[in-house]
Amino acid sequence: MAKIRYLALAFLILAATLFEFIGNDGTIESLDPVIEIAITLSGDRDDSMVFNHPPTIKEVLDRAGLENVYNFDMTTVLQNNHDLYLDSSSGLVSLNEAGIDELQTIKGIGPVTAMKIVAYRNSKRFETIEEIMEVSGIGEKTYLKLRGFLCL
Amino acid sequence: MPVKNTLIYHFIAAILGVLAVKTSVLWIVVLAGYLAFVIVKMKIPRPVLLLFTTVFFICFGWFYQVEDRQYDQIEGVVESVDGNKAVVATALTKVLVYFEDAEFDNDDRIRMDLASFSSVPYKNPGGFDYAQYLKTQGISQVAWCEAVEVMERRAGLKDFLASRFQGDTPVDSYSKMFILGIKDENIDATRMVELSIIHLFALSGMHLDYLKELIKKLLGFFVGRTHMDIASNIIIGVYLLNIPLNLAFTRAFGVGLFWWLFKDRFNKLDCLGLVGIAFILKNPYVIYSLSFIFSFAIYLILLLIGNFKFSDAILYLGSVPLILAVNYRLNLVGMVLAAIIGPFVKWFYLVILVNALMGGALDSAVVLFIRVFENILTLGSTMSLYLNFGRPGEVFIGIYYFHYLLLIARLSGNLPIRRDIARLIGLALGYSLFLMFSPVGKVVMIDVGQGDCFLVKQPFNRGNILIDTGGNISFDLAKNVTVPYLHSLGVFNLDCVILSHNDYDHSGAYESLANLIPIGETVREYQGELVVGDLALEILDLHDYGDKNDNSLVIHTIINDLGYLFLGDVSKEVENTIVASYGQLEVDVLKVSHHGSNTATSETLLQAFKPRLALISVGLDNPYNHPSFQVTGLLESYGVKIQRTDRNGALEIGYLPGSRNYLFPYLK
Repeated sequence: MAKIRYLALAFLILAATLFEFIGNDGTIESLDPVIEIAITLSGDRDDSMVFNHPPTIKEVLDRAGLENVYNFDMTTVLQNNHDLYLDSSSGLVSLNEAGIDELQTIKGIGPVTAMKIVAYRNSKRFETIEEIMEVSGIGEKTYLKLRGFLCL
Repeated sequence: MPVKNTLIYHFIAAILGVLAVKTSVLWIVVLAGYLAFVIVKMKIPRPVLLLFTTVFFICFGWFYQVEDRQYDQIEGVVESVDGNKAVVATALTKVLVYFEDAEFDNDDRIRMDLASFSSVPYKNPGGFDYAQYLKTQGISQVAWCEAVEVMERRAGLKDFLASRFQGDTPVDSYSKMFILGIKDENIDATRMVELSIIHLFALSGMHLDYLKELIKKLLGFFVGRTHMDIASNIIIGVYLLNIPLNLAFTRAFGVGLFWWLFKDRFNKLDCLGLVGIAFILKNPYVIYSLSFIFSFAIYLILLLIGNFKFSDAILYLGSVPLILAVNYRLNLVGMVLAAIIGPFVKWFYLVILVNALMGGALDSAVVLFIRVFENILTLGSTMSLYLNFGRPGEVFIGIYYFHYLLLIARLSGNLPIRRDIARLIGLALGYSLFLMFSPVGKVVMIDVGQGDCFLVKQPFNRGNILIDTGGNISFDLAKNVTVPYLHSLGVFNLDCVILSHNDYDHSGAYESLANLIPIGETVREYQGELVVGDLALEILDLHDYGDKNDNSLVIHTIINDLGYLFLGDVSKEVENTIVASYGQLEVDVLKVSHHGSNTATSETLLQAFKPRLALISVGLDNPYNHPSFQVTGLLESYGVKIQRTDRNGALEIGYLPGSRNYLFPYLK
């Protein structure tokens, strides 16, 4: 009789402990982070692709089946949600080579902006066209207006 | 009448029915068991009626919905005014409004423009459930009063009573408490709750009895015996209608009234059942109100015990689970105090009543009582001896009340109850020990609004650690949110508190916290490895940055095989340094830096550590727009599950040593 009592008590303690875990929202161990880095292309090609790691420009162009006619450094790593602008037309002004006067031929770039662009590329080469948004004073709207006239 | 002697069963069926619909379907099981017991075992007459009542209340509870809509403008009657807030009753619902200057009084008809705000900024299990409290009052909206137009002024007894005790003196405050049932800031309700004597100072059936005695003595000179009852009931009825709604008092008056009117048809249990059913019909959420639960349960027990010599002690035994559900621990000094302080409270109450009737002539006597009482409170608080528990589980409550009902049954059958009492005491002590040395370990992100506060509770009481305390300038966070939640988790002391940096939203609540809960060690500076119980925490060795946030203590630890990284408020620069120096650390759970601001959470960090779970402690509608959508978007791209306090409330991660780690968000 006493044995049954102790057994019942032990069972009760076990049940009460386990009861606390009812209504859980899953375990941390079951969480499996799936990395989905989204890259979009615009300009020459409109496309969107998903990688399971931050891709190099080489990997992006390879997957799109495009050649590097854009003067990219193929080892550049792109981060999540990057929109890569591609423009292979001729007669474009080079962000990395053009002088202050040539930059100002583009409508929307005045002397101040031109100087800022040159100052930026003196410390770091432009790896993509959209990198022009890192220059102070050039936001997304300006970038969208200018990009059709630029190359690397 | 067919329902004689059975109304109490209908009342209990009604409660269970509402619980089944409003809380959890599992209550149907209890309801079914109850009906089977009452109909089959106890063989009550006309069981069909009981089934009908059950079905009726299930349907009633199902269709009764608290108004969801938040209004910009309302028109209604002012039901009560208290300080800078008022309750306005509209045609559909009630609204709690906060205002600056009172341009209106009780009973006035007004039109008001409102700006709603969320009344529940802190969403934690344990501690006062404000959202539910509002539901029990029938209040569906909380708002600021932007503009008010008084359409009709009405003067009444409510205004007279409210203004009579308007002042700020202790006499006014205690008079307000005993006559209107309102406690203002001068009343130290906290200590009264701690000492388990708060029920003696909340208007209840006990006070009604004293009031009736007083009325009878005073009216005895003018009114004959036959008219005494009528006069007394009318006076008390009018009084009741003109003070803020008090459930316990109304319950007592209602039962007394029905008993007086129908004593040849109904017994007292029937009257209790009738009053209870009336309350549920008015607002089924009332069953969650503490006043309802306490007052009905205690009176029911009193009726069942009858005139037993130690009825006070039996009553106290019956209220143990209720006390635990509110305080999470038993105050043993309070238990003794509650037993002996009764006569003092009676005289205190009567002196205040007579003083009010005599226009303040006995003020000095009242002051004397107040002084003595506050000395008793101080002595009691200093000498306090606690038996600690935590939130009482449903299993414990069920077993306890099962044995308690057996005790009551044996008592009414005049059988010896010594064994039953011993069993109950043993059950309580055993449960306390079980909770104290519980094998369950927890890591908790406490919802402190805008701020950080993380608890690590080790299994078998091996040590409790708090990382940051949160802080709110206009609100005592520790007293109202943190400490009650810690107590509900069975944490009554903190071996170590680590403050990452001294920004107010991380360490502001520390001072108040230290006064409310014993703290062992407080860590504010780098000190390498920290060992608390079975847990080793590593404070990362980073160089000194110029900035307070960047200098936050960064903590890494492994709890039950999962790596945790607490980043304080550091920026991306610091995060990249951490990757460079500590890139090999295992991180499964990441406490996101700076409440999800986009000055932090670099892609480098996520690429290096690939955490599975991100914890963001952030306040609802905070002015900084934390967490930034860039951070949440980045976390999502890296497949990290996000738990944020503004949407999900607190998060508990629970485990048994060696088991998997389970997630328990307060809101899914």
